[in-house]
Amino acid sequence: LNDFQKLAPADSMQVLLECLSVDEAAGDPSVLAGACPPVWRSVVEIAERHRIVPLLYEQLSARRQVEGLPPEIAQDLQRQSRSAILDNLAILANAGLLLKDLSRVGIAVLPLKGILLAGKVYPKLGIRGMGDVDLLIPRTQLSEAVEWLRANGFVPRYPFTIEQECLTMHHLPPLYGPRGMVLELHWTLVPPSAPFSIDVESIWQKAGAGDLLGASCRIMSAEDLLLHLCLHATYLEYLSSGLRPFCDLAWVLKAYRETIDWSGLVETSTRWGVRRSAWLALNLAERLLRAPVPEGVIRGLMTADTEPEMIDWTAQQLLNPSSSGGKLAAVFAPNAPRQRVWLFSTQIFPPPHEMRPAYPDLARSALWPLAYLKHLGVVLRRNWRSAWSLLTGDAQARADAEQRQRINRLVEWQEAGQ
Amino acid sequence: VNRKPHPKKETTDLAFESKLKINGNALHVELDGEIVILGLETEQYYGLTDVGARIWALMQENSTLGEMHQTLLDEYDVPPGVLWQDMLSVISELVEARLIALD
Repeated sequence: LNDFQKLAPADSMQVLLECLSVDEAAGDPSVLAGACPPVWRSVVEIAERHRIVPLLYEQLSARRQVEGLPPEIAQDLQRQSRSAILDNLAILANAGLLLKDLSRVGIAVLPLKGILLAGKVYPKLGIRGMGDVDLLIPRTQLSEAVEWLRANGFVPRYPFTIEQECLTMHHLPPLYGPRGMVLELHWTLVPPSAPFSIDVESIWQKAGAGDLLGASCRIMSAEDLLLHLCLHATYLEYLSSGLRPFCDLAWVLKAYRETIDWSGLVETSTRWGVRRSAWLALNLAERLLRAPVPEGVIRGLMTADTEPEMIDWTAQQLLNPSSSGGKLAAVFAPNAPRQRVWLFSTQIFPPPHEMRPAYPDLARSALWPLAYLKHLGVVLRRNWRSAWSLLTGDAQARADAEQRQRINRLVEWQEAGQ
Repeated sequence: VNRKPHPKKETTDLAFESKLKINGNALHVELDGEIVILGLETEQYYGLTDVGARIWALMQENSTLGEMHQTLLDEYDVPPGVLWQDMLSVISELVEARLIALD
């Protein structure tokens, strides 16, 4: 995240967005034509931070614009892209083998996010990177799946029981498998504490039989896939994943534009309570990357308390992220002293389900109080500079905290139902 | 997944009427004109350029070897016998690597 939190020159970002646009015909060729070598260097650096270098290179190649780049930048882009694609191909290959094995032993699987997008949505295999493989498994088959995976060499990040994890998390702890594979088994799309009503049963019902990476599996409907990606883009990761989730949305919209059931999507988003997230994410995908979203859909998703500035807040955080942490910004927000003390204490003493993944060795042992002590050290180390800057009235720190407070507000707004 | 070269082996039972199919366990991607194939069974990468990449593309079109041979003769200035031997050489490597099989 720290690497990502660097300022991007506005013209470089404009060039990058022009390159990433999924509707070239509506673009402005003068934006790219006018970019000088330092701007292109900056474009590549921004793409690295957003983890979209292969996509950038693919877009430039498809539009025959690589030839117009300064040669050393074109070579660097090509080298980085090739290396990332080969690494991604290896992840996909292992994922394909796993999907076949799970199908063979009768475990129903619905691939999520990266693996599905890389294999089905993006124009070329491997240009969408992923750190792990995310699979949705029926809650009733989780135990069977974990048992099979353990027997086949997968080791969890920390010991767990399915019942306990499912109380607080929408996925099990990461499972480390053979050949460096990292697997996350989901049973629903958001943590149980999130105030949404995700109908997992209907996701399975709407999913069709399909083929991914040579394996038979279920494929999520385009509408459910879009809503899941919307939640990821604007809610689940607090807008900390940069442009990549919006590129995901733009490519799904482009790939399935002829078949998306828009009224079904709006109806499902209302039923799940995620209309606000859908409005925000689709609106930004359309504005930033010219993703094909019918104007009436965006209007239809708007809620009465939608503020026009929300789009600007989100875009600002994506393109020019605040260096302030969300919890620190919350503590320094204009709140009553009592509220501040409560926020501070939740930062120092997070609930056990947040401690377990962060400190797997300590949090599960008899020495669990040491995990909180260690956490206190981590919080102080991470935040003391920013906290000191805020306490001494540093203008930049204050602006960063205010930007982050707006994002906190956006997250709360999305949680507020319809 | 390792990235190692794979030993070459000739295949002799191929004819003009033969058809080849790409193994379901092979993932491939085109990178700047080169076809990079990852064999899921062998866990190795393979690279095909020029005629090799063209043969791979023609295999995806479900062409017979005879049709492939004719297409390549139209596209490249090469004696028919030399082309046939080159085709067999590439195909035998791909079969050996379990990336393709006789249909």
